[in-house]
Formats: sequence, structure tokens, C-alpha cells
Amino acid sequence: MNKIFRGKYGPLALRIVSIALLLAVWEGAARWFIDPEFVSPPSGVVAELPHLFSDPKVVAAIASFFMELTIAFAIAVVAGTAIGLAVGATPFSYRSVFPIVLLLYAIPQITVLPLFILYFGLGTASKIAFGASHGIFPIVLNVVAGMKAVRPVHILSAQTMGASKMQIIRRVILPQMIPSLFAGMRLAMAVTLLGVVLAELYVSTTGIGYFTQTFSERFDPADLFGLITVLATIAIVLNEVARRLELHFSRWRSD
Amino acid sequence: MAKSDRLRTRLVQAGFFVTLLAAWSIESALRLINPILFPRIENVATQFVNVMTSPATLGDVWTTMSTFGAAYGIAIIAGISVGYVVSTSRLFTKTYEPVLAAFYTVPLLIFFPTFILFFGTGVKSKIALGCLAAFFPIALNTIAGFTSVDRNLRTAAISFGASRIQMLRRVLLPGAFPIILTGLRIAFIPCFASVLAGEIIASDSGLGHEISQNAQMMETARMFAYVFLVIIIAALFNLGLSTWETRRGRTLV
Repeated sequence: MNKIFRGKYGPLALRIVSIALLLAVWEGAARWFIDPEFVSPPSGVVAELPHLFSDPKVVAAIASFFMELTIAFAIAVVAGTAIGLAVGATPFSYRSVFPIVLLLYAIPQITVLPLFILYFGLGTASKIAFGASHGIFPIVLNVVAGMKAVRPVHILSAQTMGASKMQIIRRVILPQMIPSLFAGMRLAMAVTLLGVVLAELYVSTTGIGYFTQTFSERFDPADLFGLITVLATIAIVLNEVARRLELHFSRWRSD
Repeated sequence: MAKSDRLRTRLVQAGFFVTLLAAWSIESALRLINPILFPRIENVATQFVNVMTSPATLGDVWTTMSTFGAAYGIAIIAGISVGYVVSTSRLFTKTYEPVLAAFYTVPLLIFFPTFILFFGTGVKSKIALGCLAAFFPIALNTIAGFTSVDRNLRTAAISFGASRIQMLRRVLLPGAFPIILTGLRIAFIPCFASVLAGEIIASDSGLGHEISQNAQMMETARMFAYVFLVIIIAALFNLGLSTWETRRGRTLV
């Protein structure tokens, strides 16, 4: 094993071989052993994709999922940064409010999902709100952590050199906070996705939840797997973008 | 931190909860918000007593906790086994760790509809979902734990002629244990939340089922009572796990 997959690209090659093997086993099992009402082979899923995308309602559901995700994430970033700055502003606000934020974070948020539907209805608003309610916590936690990471010496030296309060925020605090803000955004992306998917699956009368339920009730695994593959791809791409951005913006702080 | 400071902090935190309860009581007394949207505090209290004294609750708690237990148990065995195998070679670690880490960030809940298709709306689909959610953090922490064991310790054990089993029992497991334990604690919340999510989205029993049923029937006060029960269970579990984690971690290091 070690001899075949050595060198810089060894792990990548083994990864590709493993995935290919997995797909082959799945293909074989689905073709010859498992009831086609439950599992569709990978080739069947791929063959079904054009048909899936020819339904304008499915395309609309995916598009609205994407839009909900974007708006929820934007709300989480803006509101989370504002709350985080307020919480981290003074040692007193940090010590008294931060534990409350941590306590709220520990509540399994899924339990209040039905309330969001009750308040915001079955449409996009409840999905955006539920997604944003998930995404806001990592942003707050990381903005606060970023503010704590600013060294008092830097602020003090800026002050002695006659920097104004605005200048200190712009030139000292913000650059120090950028890496942890992006770390927060990467985590927020993952949980915002979770929140939106939760709300989408809970509401089975419209959107993604409607189609996943219809496809399983029709015993149509090719369409179901296809839709899920598309959603998983969106999730993986968005997470990867967030991860790359984090790497990019934290590179300067290599000390 | 000075003592007076700590007192002041605690006072603010206590004040927050007192204010919250007071605001809720005043809102309930003045009947400001439609109780279907936000229930009155006294109704939630009554419903909470009703829920706690109802014999059916024990069944719901049992359904949810046994589902969670099965999912968590399978995930622990699978996660530690897979983590151990991946950690045995550098090639495996380099190959599979990024794959496991990538999966960890995908909302695994999107696979729930396929589990409903395979296993139906009973407990099996929730076990599968909870297990999937807990597997990745446990496997990743197991890899991190085993690979973090001091190389000198391994070399020493090998030169003293330790067998593979001895190496695992006497060197690797004790060294990796604190990090694996952290993985178990991290996995608790996603596993428990996934079981509840599964019950809320599609099920016929359990605490999550009660929450979504009562919400759909606009019995918001009763729904709140169940939400509080779930929060209490989760908090107790988390407290137990983190106490165990700090205690075990200390004795072993």
C-alpha cells in the first residue's frame, strides 16, 4: 500500500481510488441485490438529473433554498458582529453577558423550530429566520474571541502615539479581528445550512421538504438521491469557499 | 478576578433571569401577546406539572433516550474503530482525515429523507441520523488522539518488546483517552439534536414528536413544557459528561 501511494499525490490518489471503489460497490449492490424501490445506483442518479432539472418547480425550490441561505447568512454576519462588538466592548459586559450567550448556545435549537413556523409562517421567512438564528452564535463567539485577542500593548502604544478612538478601532482592533471573524463565518456557514435544511424538511407543503417527501412516498430513489446530491454539493462548495476565505485572511498573522 | 467583581458579574446574570421571568409574568398578567403565539407563564407551569406527572411522558422520554442511546453507542464503536484504523498509518491519516473533516461540515440532516425511505418513520431512521451526526466528531477526535501520542513513548514500548495489543492497551489508549473523551462530549449535542430533529420532522413517538404535535395543534403552552423538559435533559447530560471529562482527563495525564 505505502509503496504504491507514496509521494506528494499519494493520499489524493488513494482517496480517488477509495471513492471509486465505494461507488462501484454501491452500483453493484443497487443493480443486483437491493430492491430498486429503495436504492438507485449512482449511474441511475446521474441519468435522472436532467429529468429532475427539467421540472421548473424543483429548480425553483433549489433556487429559493439558495436565496434563503444567502439572506440568513448575511443577517447572521451583520447582527452577530454587532452583538459581538457590544458584548466584547468592556470587560464588564463580557463577563456578565457572555455566559448568557453561551447558555443560550447550549439549548438544542431544533426544539423551537415549530415556534419559528408559527411566527413566520410556512414560506421563506421562517427558513431565513431559523437559519440566521443558528448562524448568529458562532459569529458572536468569534467576534468576542477576536476582540479578546487584541493585545492591550498595541492599543496602549497607538494611544501614546496620539491615535483617536476611531483610528484605534480601524487600524488596531479590526485588522486583529479579521482572522477570527472569518473563522466565525466558516462555522456560521455550516450551521446556517443546517438551520435552513431543518426548516425546509420540517415544512413538507412547499420547497425542498415537499419534494423529498413526495419522492420517498413515490419510492423514487433516483430523484431523491439526485436532489440530495445537489444540496450536498451546494453545502460542500459553500463550506469550501468559507474555508478558503478564512485561510486567505488569516495568512498574514503567521507570527 | 477580584471577589467583588465576581459577585457583580453573578448579580448581573441572576438579574438577567429574574428580569426575563418578571417580563414574562408581567406580559402574562397584562395579556399583551396572543397566548397561541406566546403562552402565559402560569399555563406553561401548569402544563409542565401535567407533563411531568403524566404516565405517557415516561414512554416518550424512554423512546427518545433509547433512540439516542442506540445512535450514540453505535457511533462510539464505529467512530473509535474507524479512527483507530485510520490513525495506524500516516498514509491513511493523510488520505482519509480530510474526507472525514469535509463530511463533518455538511449538514448531514439532508440525508434524513433517504433514511425515512430505507427505515420508515419509526425509531430506526432516527438512530441512523443520530449515529451519522455523532460518528464524524468521534472519529476525528480519535484520529487526533492516537496521532498525538508521544513518538518517544511508542519507540520505548517497541524497544521493550511490546506486542500490538499491549501497545494499544498500555500506551495508545491511555495517551489518546482524554482527546477521545472530548470527541464523545462534542458528539453529544449533534447526536441528541439529530434524534430530536428526526422526531420533530417525521415520527410517531418521542419528545420531539410531542413538541411538533403540540405546535401543530396550537397547544403552545404544552409545547413549551416539553421544550423545557428537553433542555433540562440536555443540560444534565452535558454537565455529567463535562464533569467526567475533566475528572478522567486529570487522573490520566
